[in-house]
Amino acid sequence: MKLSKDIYVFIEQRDGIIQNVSYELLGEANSLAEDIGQKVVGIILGSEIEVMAKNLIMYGADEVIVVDHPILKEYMTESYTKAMTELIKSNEPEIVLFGATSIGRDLGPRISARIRTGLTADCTSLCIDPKNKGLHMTRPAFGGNLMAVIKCENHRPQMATIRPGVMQAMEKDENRKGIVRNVAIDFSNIGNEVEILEIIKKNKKVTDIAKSKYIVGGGRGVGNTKNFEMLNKLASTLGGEVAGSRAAVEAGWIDADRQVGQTGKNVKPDLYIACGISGAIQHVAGMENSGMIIAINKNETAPIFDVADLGVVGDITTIIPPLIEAIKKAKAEGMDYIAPSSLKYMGMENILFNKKDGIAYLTINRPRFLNALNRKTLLEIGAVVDLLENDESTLVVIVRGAGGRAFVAGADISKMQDMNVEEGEEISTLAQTVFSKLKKLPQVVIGAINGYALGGGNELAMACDIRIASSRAKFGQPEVKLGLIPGFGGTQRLQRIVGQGYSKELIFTGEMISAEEAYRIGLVNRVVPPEALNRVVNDLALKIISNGSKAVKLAKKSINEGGNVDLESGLAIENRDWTNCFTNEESKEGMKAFVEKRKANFKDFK
Amino acid sequence: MKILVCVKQVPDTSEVTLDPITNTLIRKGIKSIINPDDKAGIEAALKLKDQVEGSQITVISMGPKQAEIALREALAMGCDEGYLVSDRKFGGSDTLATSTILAAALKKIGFDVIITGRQAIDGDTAQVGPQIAEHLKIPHVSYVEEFEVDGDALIVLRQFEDRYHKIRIKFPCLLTAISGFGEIKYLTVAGVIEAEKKELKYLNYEDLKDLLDEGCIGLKGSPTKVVKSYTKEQKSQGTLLKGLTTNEAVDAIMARLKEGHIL
Ligand SMILES: Cc1cc2nc3c(=O)[nH]c(=O)nc-3n(C[C@H](O)[C@H](O)[C@H](O)COP(=O)(O)OP(=O)(O)OC[C@H]3O[C@@H](n4cnc5c(N)ncnc54)[C@H](O)[C@@H]3O)c2cc1C
Repeated sequence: MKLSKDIYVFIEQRDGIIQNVSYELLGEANSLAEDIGQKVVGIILGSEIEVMAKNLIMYGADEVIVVDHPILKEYMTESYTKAMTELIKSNEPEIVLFGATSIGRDLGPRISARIRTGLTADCTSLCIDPKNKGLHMTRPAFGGNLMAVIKCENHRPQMATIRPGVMQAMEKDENRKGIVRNVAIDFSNIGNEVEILEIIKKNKKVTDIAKSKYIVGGGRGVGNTKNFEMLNKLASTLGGEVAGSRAAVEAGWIDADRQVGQTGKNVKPDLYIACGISGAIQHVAGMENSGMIIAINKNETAPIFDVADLGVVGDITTIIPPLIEAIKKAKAEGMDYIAPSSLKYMGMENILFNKKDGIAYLTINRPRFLNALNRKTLLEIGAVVDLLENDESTLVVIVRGAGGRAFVAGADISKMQDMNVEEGEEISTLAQTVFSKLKKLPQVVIGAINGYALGGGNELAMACDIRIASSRAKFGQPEVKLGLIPGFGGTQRLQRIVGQGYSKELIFTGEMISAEEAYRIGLVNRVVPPEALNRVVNDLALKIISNGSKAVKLAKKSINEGGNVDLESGLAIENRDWTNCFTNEESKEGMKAFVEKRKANFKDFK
Repeated sequence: MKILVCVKQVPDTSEVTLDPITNTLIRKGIKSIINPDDKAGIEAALKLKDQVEGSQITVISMGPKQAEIALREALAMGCDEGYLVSDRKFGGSDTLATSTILAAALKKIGFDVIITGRQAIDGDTAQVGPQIAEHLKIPHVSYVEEFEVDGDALIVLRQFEDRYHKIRIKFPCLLTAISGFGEIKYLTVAGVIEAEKKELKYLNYEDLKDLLDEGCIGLKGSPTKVVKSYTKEQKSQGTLLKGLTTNEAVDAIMARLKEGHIL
């Protein structure tokens, strides 16, 4: 076999606009390139498109090949096949990726037949076989009932079309460097067997539902157009889009470009509300990766409930109208979080921060990445912790993860694998500093652990004073499985909480444990049903707030400082802080109220 | 005009279920159907035949003997003759090998236009049509929704996600069809009886030998191989609430929306 080289990504542009799937493929190609040590090359065909090359580099291309020719302005099978085939033949890439769009799925097969190599269609995941560095391509078959892993061992390039919406684009990096190469292709021998007479743009407002953060999906159970209007209203109240099952499209209630599923769009919004959808496998295939799935269906055995985070057995026609009203009301009153615009002002993208009545909520908000911690997220947590340090009006800080699945599923490994020694050290130092600051905050920090708390997530949880877990939470320090050790405080804090024995077992095996097990070994204070988590945590916060805030803070200080010293020194610390209590009015009011047999009024002393 | 239509017999994937214990596909008892897009292809062929006098429709299927049923159904829908392309040597073919074999069969039979479905519901690859066209060195248009005859060419409407192309494509050519060719023609008793009387024709490796390279067909001639297949894991269990009043249901949903910071 010849020594093939790079990973080629066919960049799909329409009217000079690069399609999202191409950015996703550049991201995926980058992670493959890591495994086989090759470069990522974006190939863009079109007319007057060279200006776009820079963008591709910012999103992960090491090299961009530009073929600029008027014939390439609009997609046509033969001209595109000719250009791609010539580039592939002269450069012998190892892998070629296309988006599984109506263009990629037309172009890919034609090229594969011309070159005589394999092509795997509609893949949903790719990986490199560590043994022979071959590409393993996973795709659904039998209407999504079966997943098949395909390889293409003896032919090069290995080619695949990838479903839009499943791969992760990289964050834009304006400083990324790459080269741009213009290649001329001779199209003079292309005949006039095929010509485009007219281009008819679909004139209806095409909103790409795949881009929406919130989706309300309707199925046959919606019943009629009027009820679908109601879903429209729900979607617009949320600021999202409506979508539907194939049955809803066939009934004519919504347009085909809003169909979700195997033969429709693949979506992964932060929220998907399935209304009157049974949850056929072909539908589920297109929405199961949503951040949170809520399903409303009359039939309690509907399969949609198997994938739903929250399933409500009921009739949509009675539930949705009051739900719309409730959402409107909640929006009007302003919920307990600050508006996205003010978050932007603070420059924060990955966390939400808000305060209300003495409680601050710090939410790690990257549900699509299971709230994984990257550098930016750590910096943002650090910034909020700095703010809180001098915030007299807050007594309790609640730390939680957005979405239904994870508290924090770990550190963002995709970012970490590129790091050198210095960068590795830096990220550990950063995380340790931020977590230690959190632990040392004067306020009480409660971790509300709703889902995965793995690696950096468990370490963040351990930096909280109190941990309350949902029964769905899972804990672990899986670092050794990646050839690492816990680096955000895990080897130190875990043993101080559960003792060395359990700590070593968890860290050496890297295995996950359930919330119940975490409770048994003392890692969490309480396990509660998922529905109750927020209420329990809030109640706990309110109980703490009803007490003297100065006393609570001094108590925390005393416990924290005493935790790291011998008993004698600890007692001295306690003695200091106890004495300290007498310097403030709060203790006077507390003791006076006790003697007078009334409730202490600590409010005035805050 | 000689119109060739390729059809595939597929299991009705909307009925495929998983064995809850072994987590494998239950294939037994699943009925086989003509792949839906291929049915659209037959409809398109019938429409073309209506437009061009003296046309003949030949339907071809590659597969085991059982695929005769699909061919008979196609004949009953109005196709004039049917070919089954079948040989043990063809087994295990991936899309490239399949398209190679079909291309040889189509060449042998002769054609002015070839119509395939866009994709088959068991594999969903959408590859065989364009690959056949490449092997035969003829142009193709895929995702075709409508067409008209225009002298030595067809004017077709090619669907994209965001637009249509109205394309003029000269014969000989290949189209891949998607549903949307108007009303489905239902089978009539007379049609079925008529179809039963027709003789099916067969093509095997021997018949196509001159047009085929043995290294390019079957398992051996397939660049892609299945490493393994598995059924999807079920997601961890969520919460199911039943018997709620409307207010409770709204509260439960609102709590989730707040929890997820959607509100
Ligand atoms: C090859 C192939 C590809 C396909 N691709 C797709 C695809 O991409 N996307 C897709 O969606 N489907 C696809 N399908 C179709 C799929 O198999 C299902 O038929 C379809 O998803 C069913 O749609 P539904 O859930 O809306 O309807 P149904 O299955 O009929 O479900 C309706 C549901 O509504 C509930 N209901 C009724 N009234 C009410 C009420 N008042 N309140 C609450 N609930 C109510 C019922 O209990 C029922 O569960 C495909 C099928 C095939 C064969």
